[in-house]
Amino acid sequence: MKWLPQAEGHLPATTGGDSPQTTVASQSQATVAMPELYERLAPAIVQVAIYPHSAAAAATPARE
Amino acid sequence: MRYKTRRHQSLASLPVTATLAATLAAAAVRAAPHEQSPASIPSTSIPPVIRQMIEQARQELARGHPAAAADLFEQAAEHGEYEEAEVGEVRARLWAGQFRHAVAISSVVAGEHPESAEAQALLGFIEDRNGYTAQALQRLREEQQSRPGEAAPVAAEAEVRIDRHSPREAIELIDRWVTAHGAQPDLCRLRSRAALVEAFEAAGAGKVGIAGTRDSHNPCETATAHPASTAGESRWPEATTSRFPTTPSSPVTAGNGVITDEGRQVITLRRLIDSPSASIWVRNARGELRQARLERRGENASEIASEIATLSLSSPFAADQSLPHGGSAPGNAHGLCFALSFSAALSEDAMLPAVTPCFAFDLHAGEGTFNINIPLSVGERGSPVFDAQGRLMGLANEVAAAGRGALTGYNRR
Repeated sequence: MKWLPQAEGHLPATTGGDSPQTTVASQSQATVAMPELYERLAPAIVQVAIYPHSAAAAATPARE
Repeated sequence: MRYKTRRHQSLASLPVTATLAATLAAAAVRAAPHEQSPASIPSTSIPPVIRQMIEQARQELARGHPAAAADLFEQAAEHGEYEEAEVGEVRARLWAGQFRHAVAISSVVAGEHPESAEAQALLGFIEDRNGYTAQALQRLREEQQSRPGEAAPVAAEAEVRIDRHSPREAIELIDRWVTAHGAQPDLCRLRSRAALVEAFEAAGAGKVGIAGTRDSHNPCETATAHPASTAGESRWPEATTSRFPTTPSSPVTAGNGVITDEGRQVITLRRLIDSPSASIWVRNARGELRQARLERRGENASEIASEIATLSLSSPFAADQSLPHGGSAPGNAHGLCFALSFSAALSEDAMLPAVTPCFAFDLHAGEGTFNINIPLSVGERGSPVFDAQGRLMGLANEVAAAGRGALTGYNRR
């Protein structure tokens, strides 16, 4: 089962100007625009990769 | 409707360093050219000074400075509706984490440049990140039908499908295009990511490396190369980012986590990393890489029993990337929610997390576990789930089961 077909059914959506603005409504009916939430929260998300200790001990990031 | 606030400027307003070239170009571009011609300016008629600004922006992008690149692209775009500058700005804003700005200009740029497959592809991709996946896929399919030779709409759809638990569909989409048009590097990179995700998901428990993901029917390995890029052929580049360690072996598993404590720590699922032989690396959406170490468990029972692990970092991330103090939802939170995750967490490609709307229910107070009405992939374990106000509710800890996932509740108070 995939979430694709149901995706837009979960959240009330409003459209502002030319930009689609997904909003999520809290129980108090306050709304927060998804672009704002995404911009605020996405930088906090990280990939976590687990390596065998022996292999990664000598590892060097290729670029940083 | 156009509501871009920028005013196209005279070349006379360019910085001093560009004045000489601007003088030479003045005959080619008059002030406010968009008022004379609303159509976009062909790349062949871009004046040298503007071309130079665009090239500088591209170099900043290649150096991993998307915010600087975005400003340079914007400066170039202020002098006319140059497709390369405007599309470049959308991409650079997106990579710089300036999501609201990217959303605001992407639809305008796509509207001003209907001839640009890359502009349409970027708009579709941003729509998906914004939670409008069905709308995004419809746009991308229509673009593919009208311009079947363009790679960008295919790449954007493939990236969406990989992140939305459909790696097989992404592979088939790419294979059809490559078979018809030849191997194209952006698409072949995405195909490798899709194959990796597919193998990872098939392994279920996630205890599998990335070796063995080659398949015998990969047209990227047999098709002739796509002809070199020309003005009409769109690209789907990836952001410059730090790579995970180069090692003889591959990650044994991967998932997601979230930065806390003003950038000094990451929390993730304990089951992901609870191995004495593990070497742990974390990378954020800006492509910044850190080595991480599992914090020892405390003495109290709740900490010992917790399924949430705290990682300390080799050096902190910027504090503004951290969840704020007090950013967790109340312990009994339920209702509308959304997950933010790198679905293809095992991939080394540069990626942007995807939003998945959800509903959280069936709180088991004693166990601190929620159900959510969306399935989760293996790669999404540890993904943070937020309530409608952006407060952390918990971390995803179960893969798809009967169309549902589960959360381990998180409340630091």
